[in-house]
Amino acid sequence: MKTSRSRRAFLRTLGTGLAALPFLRLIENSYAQEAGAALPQRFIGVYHPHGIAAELFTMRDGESETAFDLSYADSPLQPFDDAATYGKSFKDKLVVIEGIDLLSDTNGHNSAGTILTGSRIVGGAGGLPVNSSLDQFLAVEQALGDATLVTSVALAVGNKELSARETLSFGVGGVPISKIIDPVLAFDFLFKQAIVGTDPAAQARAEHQRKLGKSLIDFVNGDVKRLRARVGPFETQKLDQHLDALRALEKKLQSLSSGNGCAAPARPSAFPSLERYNGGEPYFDAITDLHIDLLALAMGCDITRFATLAMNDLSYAANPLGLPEDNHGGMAHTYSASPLGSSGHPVGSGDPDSWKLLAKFNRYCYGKVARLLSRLDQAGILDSTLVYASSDMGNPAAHSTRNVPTVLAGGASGKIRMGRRIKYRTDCPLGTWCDPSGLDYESVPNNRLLISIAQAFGVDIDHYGDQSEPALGAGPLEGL
Amino acid sequence: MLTYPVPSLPLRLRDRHRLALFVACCGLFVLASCSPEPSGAHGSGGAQASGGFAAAQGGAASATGGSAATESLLLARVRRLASAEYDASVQALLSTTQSPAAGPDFPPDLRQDGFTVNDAQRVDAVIVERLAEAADALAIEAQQNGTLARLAPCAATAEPASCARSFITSFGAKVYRRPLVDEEASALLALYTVGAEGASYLDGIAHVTRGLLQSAGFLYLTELGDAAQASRGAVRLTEHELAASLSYFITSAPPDDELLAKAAAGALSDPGEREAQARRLFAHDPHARDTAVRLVREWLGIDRIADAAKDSLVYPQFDGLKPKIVAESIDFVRAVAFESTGNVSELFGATWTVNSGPLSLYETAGSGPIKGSSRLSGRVGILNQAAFLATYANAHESHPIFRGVALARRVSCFGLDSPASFNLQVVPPAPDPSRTTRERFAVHPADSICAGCHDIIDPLGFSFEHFDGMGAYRAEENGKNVDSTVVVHQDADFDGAYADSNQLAAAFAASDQVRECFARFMFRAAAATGDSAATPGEQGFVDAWRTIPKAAQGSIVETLIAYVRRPSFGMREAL
Repeated sequence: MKTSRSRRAFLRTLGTGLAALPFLRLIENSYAQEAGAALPQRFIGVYHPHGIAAELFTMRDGESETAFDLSYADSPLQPFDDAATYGKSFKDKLVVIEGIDLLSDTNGHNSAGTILTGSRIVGGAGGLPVNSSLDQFLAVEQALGDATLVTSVALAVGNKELSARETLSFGVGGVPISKIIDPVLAFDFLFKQAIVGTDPAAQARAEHQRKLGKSLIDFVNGDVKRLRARVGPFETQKLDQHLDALRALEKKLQSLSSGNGCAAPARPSAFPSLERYNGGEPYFDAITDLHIDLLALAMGCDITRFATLAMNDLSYAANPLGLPEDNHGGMAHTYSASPLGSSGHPVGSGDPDSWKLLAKFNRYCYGKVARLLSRLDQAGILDSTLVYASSDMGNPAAHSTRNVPTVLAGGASGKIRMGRRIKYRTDCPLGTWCDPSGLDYESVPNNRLLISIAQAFGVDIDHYGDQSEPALGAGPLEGL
Repeated sequence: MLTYPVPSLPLRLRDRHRLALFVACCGLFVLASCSPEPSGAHGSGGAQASGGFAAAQGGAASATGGSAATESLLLARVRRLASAEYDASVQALLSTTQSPAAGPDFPPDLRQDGFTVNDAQRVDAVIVERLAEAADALAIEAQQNGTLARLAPCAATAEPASCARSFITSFGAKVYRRPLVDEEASALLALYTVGAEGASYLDGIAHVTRGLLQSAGFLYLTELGDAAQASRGAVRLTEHELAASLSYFITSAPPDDELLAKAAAGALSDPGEREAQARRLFAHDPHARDTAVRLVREWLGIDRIADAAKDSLVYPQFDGLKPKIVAESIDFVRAVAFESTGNVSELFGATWTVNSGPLSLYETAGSGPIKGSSRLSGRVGILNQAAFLATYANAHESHPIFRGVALARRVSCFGLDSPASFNLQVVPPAPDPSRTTRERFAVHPADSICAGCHDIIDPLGFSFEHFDGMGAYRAEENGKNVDSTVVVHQDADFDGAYADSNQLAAAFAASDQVRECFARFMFRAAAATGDSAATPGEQGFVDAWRTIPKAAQGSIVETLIAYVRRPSFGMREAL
């Protein structure tokens, strides 16, 4: 991929457009501000690729749960304590957790699907989880997303493939939820229906459109129900999801007449290319920023409370991080872990330069999470939001699904104590590999974290996900 | 070679359904419990475990015109049209050239076992909006270009609501691929009323069209039988369901007038009639050819070339050649299937390719056997073309294990389980500029546990080592001669010693086992369940396919027709 003059020109224009987003005005008008103290809880799941430089991520000697530094040289977590760049330090809005495993029963590349499902990835050709992801469980099944215009949204950068790879959101039965990779479509999905002009003609047009739209939804709804009455028990799930989707669409129509007093930002301009492997890579950084800004705006307007964002890498020649063009091959496959970072699978002899390279990319990804926190903070909703960021691998050279990087951020409305680092014991005696069937293996599966998060949202469950041994998917995360 | 401690005894098993191996191997794709048994051999067992069903009950079997003695049936189901099917359907209905689902805004198909047509497709909150937008755009276009006026004529003296009723009955039946029931017709008439209110007759018709294009009756193919049948056990598909199943399987498009007429006459229960209709479609309908090409590409996974990228420092030519590599992966399959022998043997064994391919990567030797083709020296068949070689590779290197696993699973039907399901940790070999790719990957035979599986995979994959990660020929790598010699010893009919993947491909071309594997995958594509190990009826299909003349067994068209002829084509099991 070449860096063309037209791309640079486009990105310059885009930067101007972003700056023009009426951010402050929006916040003044936000529903959340008007509603006062009883803020709802919001959940955002974030995926970032290529695992973690564990040697540089880990708590350092002498640090404790509450006394730690994030700003040392080569720290992947630096952006969370970088007030100069992100407006303030988010060190006290953070829980950094080490030692969490994704028990996906598959290779790291297919394990993103486990992050919010706690499910094994089963079936051929990459496989899928078997149950829904936590965002969908809370928003759809527990109906916590019902109150807002948009029940939930799944955003992604560069990859809209419906699979267990680089996908966080899954509906009932583990079916991937469509990811929106185009910020223009993300804007439409979140804001289009909320925009109604103030002149009477525009309102009359909107009312007519609403009536027409409602008649179509009613018809399709009836048609899906007629079909549903004819199918066997295995097939109702599909049609129920269709009915849920129609309900989500209907909610947006209803708001045409009511509105929520929230001024929407300008519709972003279209990107020349969006997809990975097809020329989209040079735009990924800008797309990520735009997704984050739109998401924070939408949450600030209480348009939605549940979202996921699957980030991507910067695999193109002369990328701004100076990473090898093939990020994964040149950064993950070449990772040379120490015993600490290897989960017992040493590849290479522990080369600190390879740690620093990955840490640079980790810092880039956490910088985006920090941008999200900053935007949520500007919208006044950081304290009522919980962000859960993770990757599909720990040690990237081994593509290991053990000891994956785990960051909780935001305030979670006080339900989770922030400003901490938690380090769970390693699964096996340090520096060795032990089989999950052995007695010396003691996993801390992310299922426990999902249970804790559900409980923080007031959903009283003590089991989440699908594991061969049910105990692995039971009980909250101790110490959280 | 890396080794890890091996615990003495299994103290607890995480999963009683599988045997955990207490060993970790190094090397990417470490596979345990591999056997050269065709993976399809699990088919009948799996079907029984999930409630395999004997179809020969009552008059059911005879009604389908065949002897379905103890055939396992697919479950009664609905399945949402895949993207290509949706586009072909709206084009057939409205004579439009729009392809909404192929556009960048639509989410891609959810794949099962590599196939885009399957019963897992859903309508979620994003797709429902795309469908609504597409329906709106299609209805507006059809209103503006006169299509709706043609489909819903209404004389000046006629009562508009009565014209709307006629349109709903006639066009609705085409959209639903069956006559509408009263309740559906009244719901659509209500839509007409809303749309025409304060507007024109055609505005009302356009509104009905919007509704129809988002309806469950349009979006879901049903395989349910009719309500008069028992709600449990074997059910016969209705004639209209047969017409739609046949049409979408062969052409990815809705049934044409002749198929609908055959359905109305009750003719499609007869396997001979289904065969005749399939042959007619292959002869006259370009969609049938497109569909066969799609099935072959998805079987081999080479359609994934569209999503392949290479490190431009390692493979600077790739971006420029990619369109030709993609074109070859389509045009070559089409040429073999419909302009040459039509046989899977030629697919693997051809010593020519189409001129739309990346000829600058190849060594050509004059013009080929069909128009627009070239003879090749040093490239045999589709597996030695760039699409296969570049798809099954990393961005910066060839990947013998990806290639070997693809051959083992999808060309040879060897049963291979995923390494992770046996608690084996996968570790890709580190880069090493002093060794060849083969040397880096060839650690498995040194470990007895790894060797069990990599005995199958490695020879298949290493045979391709003269082709780099984008499919270009290389004699040397890192200053060393490339070694592509392999010995295959799996009690397969293509066992033997081979100098390279070209020789191996020639052996595949002659192999009965490879032909049968192809037939299994065509069955799985047709069954569209995505569960290759437990698809009811696979073994029955293969047994029936074996009875067709040997020369026709490798025929792509004849294999698809063999499926259409099966008594079980028209039967489902209702739970």
